[in-house]
Amino acid sequence: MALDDAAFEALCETLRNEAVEQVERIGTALLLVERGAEGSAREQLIDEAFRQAHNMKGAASSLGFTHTARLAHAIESVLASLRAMDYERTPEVFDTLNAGLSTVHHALRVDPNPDPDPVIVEAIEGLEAVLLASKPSPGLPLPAPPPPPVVRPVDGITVATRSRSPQSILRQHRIAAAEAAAAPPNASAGYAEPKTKHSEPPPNPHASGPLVSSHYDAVPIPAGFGPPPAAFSPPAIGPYGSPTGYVSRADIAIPGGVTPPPAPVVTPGTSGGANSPGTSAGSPGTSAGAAVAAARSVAQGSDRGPNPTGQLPKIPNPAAAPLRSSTEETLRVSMKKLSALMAQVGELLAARVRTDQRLAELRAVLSAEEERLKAQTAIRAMVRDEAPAKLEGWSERLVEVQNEDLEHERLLVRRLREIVRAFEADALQSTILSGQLQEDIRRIQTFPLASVLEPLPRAVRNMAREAGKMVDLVITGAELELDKKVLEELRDPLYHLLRNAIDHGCEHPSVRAAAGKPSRGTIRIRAEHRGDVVTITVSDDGPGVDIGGVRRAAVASGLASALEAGEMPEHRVLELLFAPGLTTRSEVGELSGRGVGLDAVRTNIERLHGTVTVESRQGVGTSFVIVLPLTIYVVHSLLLRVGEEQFAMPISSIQRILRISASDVLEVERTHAIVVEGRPIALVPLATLLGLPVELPPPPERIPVLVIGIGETRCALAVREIVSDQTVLAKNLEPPLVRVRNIAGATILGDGRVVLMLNPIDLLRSASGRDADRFRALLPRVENRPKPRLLLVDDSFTTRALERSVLEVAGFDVVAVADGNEALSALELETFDIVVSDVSMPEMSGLELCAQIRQNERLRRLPVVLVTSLGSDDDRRAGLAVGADAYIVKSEFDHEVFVKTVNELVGRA
Amino acid sequence: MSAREESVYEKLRTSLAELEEKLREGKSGEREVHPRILAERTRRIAREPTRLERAPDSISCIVFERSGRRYAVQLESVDEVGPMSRITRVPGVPDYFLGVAARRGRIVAVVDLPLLFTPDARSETSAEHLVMASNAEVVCAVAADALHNIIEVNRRTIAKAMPTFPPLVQRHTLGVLEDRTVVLDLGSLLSDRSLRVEERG
Repeated sequence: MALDDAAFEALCETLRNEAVEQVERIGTALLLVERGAEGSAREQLIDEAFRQAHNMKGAASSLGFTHTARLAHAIESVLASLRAMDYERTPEVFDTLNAGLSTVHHALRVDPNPDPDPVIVEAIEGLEAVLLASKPSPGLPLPAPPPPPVVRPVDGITVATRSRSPQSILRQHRIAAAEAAAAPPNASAGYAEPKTKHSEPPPNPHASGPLVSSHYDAVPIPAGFGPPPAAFSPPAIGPYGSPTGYVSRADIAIPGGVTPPPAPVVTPGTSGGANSPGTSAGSPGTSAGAAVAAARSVAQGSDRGPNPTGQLPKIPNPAAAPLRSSTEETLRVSMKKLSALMAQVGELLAARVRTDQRLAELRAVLSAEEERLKAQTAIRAMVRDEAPAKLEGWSERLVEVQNEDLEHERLLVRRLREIVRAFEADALQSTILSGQLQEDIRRIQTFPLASVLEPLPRAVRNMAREAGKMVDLVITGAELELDKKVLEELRDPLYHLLRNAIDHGCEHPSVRAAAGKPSRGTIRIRAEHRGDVVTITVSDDGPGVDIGGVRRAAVASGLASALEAGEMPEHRVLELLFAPGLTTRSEVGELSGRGVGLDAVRTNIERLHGTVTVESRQGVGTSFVIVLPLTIYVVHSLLLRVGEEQFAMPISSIQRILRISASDVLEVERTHAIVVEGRPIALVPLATLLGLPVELPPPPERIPVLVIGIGETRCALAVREIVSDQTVLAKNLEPPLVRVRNIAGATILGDGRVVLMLNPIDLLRSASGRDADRFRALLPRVENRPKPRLLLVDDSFTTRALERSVLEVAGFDVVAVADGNEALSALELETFDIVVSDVSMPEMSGLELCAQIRQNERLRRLPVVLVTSLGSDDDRRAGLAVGADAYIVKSEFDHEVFVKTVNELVGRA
Repeated sequence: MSAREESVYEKLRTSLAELEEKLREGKSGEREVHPRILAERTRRIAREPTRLERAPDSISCIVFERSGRRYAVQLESVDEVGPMSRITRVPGVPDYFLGVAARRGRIVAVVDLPLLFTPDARSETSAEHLVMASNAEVVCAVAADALHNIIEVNRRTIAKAMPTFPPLVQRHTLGVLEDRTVVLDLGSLLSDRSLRVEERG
């Protein structure tokens, strides 16, 4: 199913749920009326029923639920005339109405489907028969013409007219009924369709106006549920024509009103046609009288139609077709109950984990028994082969006993093996079943992101107008479904980010024009599903974060010293945006406000076990990336042992798992690193980051290492042991532990132990903080250190000169040679800290040079950067395959990146 | 010792002497209890407990002990009292948080009151009980070595917190009883912002 189909289906489901509720309400109201409610109570009940039917019709037509809309229309018409009916007749009317209501269930199952359905036709005819038989009281004044719909485009947003009160609609209906009674050609019309109703927002929030405002350009929305360009009449005017007495003005416009025309039905795909004025905009000028007369004649002549004497109409048997299938019926369940159910599933999962533990124990028993059996067999063989010759008669007895034991042991092992196998199968099945159960319950609690995003375009418009800016909001991925709790918690962070984007990410139109940008800024919210996480990116096309401003603000608010702020790499500066109390308005006028809500944004997101990061490019824009687990309850994690404690690390944040030996560890600037995919990555014992005593496996054992990372920031964490991987139920710590550094929450293991869940982003920050400490400690000595020696290999004189000048400015002592052989000679004679080489060179290529360096015991750790014009992926791969640490393509040559790369490789970050 | 307490002890002594006498004679204390006494006792147990005429300012408190210090906390603020469950240490939080424990599916912090009030205090023993308390925003467990009785405390007659108390204790102490029990307002203590751990990464 395509995504837009999925979104449409979700809307349909909402409509169905709502309609079922509405049917219930109408039914209840009718029941009370039937039981003898009188006077104003009766009026109120009928009003209520009428309002529900009217709402149902509106929502149904907006989604192209033609059958439902038509049925709702008929019910509405009968309800409108109910008041005027005499009491003797009403029992039959209630029967018909109830039958009609029952048929709504059927219609909801059939819709959206253009094909005529006999059950619904029959129900509608039944309702129409009631109307035909009704005798509305004459003498009421003619109605005023319905007001035209107000569609006022402001900044591309369609502003719908306010919904009229049900009472006013009902009044109009009554008036229309009276009018119908007074005017002979329309004598039986009990109900005139107010033509503005489709400019009202439908009651269903998912089908309401804002979703289809221009800001939602990128949201795939079935054409069927957008607000119509102008008022359009409901699909109730459709296929079955109108052999009917409840023909409205709009109905009259139907071509071929006499015989049922081939269904001109509103469906998601074809609604454009149905909405078009030609088919449905009901021109009052049409010869109403003739059409109605014709309709009546057909109605009276029809063998299925009611007779004019008020005979009982045919009522669809509720026990038959309409309610045959109840699979799609829905039930409203409180979130509390669902959460309780989810919690129980959590317990079930915990029990499952315990089962695994039992299974592991059983396997251990089995293997012990198998060992014992082996030993027994060996002893037996020995006794059999040697004993009889050497020992006396009692040895025979011993052999017998041995045999018996052995047989017993074999049986035991066989039985154990069977049990283990069966247990494994059961465990697997229960894993599958509990997984499905969990997924099903999770799905019950998920809703489309649209439910949160829906009000945003309007909010953005208002905020932008307040700020005197022009902003478009483009949303993609609104159909993605997320846990209700996640959605609720997401609302505030999204508002914060949007406000930030408007405040700081969108320049005033004049500024934008000066920068050569379109005067309207664009804010994009993009939601994507990746593996078991959802990423939501809020990006703007503004000026980007003012890095210098943030540095100043950080110094002003005491978050960093001037030296620290100056030395801090850009990504760390961006991280400061999330620091509490960053902004000091007096210090940085333009930047003020940035960071105020971001602290709260991060707190909210982290409570959902998610992460939020920021990326920014000067002049291009800023993006905030929120990564959330698909469900907040269950996190696939790796259980780690650090010292005596165990911790859980979400697998989604782990990039690689390695086992290293001490020789793999490089010492760079008194910090440690390992080389992963040709690049050195900081290696830190996890225990150090957590402030626990470091305990790693003793030397011959390899050290388990997890590489965690977000974007370019990566870090390798050494642990004592990787215990297992487990799907755990994530729980938040309760206040007063509101936020503990490095800890995202906790989970309760099968044996009741609480294991803390780690926060990978915090760990990265902690790790980078540690690097910064060391870096700072080294700072005074940096100046006095000898320049790193760099061997530059390139056959082009110009390139050599260019690169040499760049590198010398960057503080390298450069020795330049023209090819690989010369380079190898130089490397033999002198010591270098790094090699920067071209790839295509005569004699020996850069690749060969690199390969030889890697093969040389003394040189193999020497960083090698390949700089080349060969930019294909294959070339890159070839470069990395021979062990190059970096591969820079000349066409993308950027001095800064080049120097940065070389600096990083020699440990001068 | 008050006259009422003295009379209670007097009665206890008398009962014990009687029991001792019976045991010396080789009889069990219970078996010979007259049915009438049993019936009376049953009635007494079954009777609706007579509500003490509580002074308007009287509060019921549970008394517990930790590291040799006695604390009393209002019953209203206590959710439940239970045996100590396994505690998981949380790195990076102040020492007075012994760690977290699972309680009815929630992960709650376990606080050591002596360590909270006087950071240089040493907790020799591992606690045996958890006193669970919560208010609208905070849920917390307090470690206790021993649980004592439930007492009625009259706010008006209670001695106020001594000025030498650490500020945190002063803020949340209703007073001190003559047996050096510190009566705490646990609800307000839990809400104290200084207790919150809200670290940024």
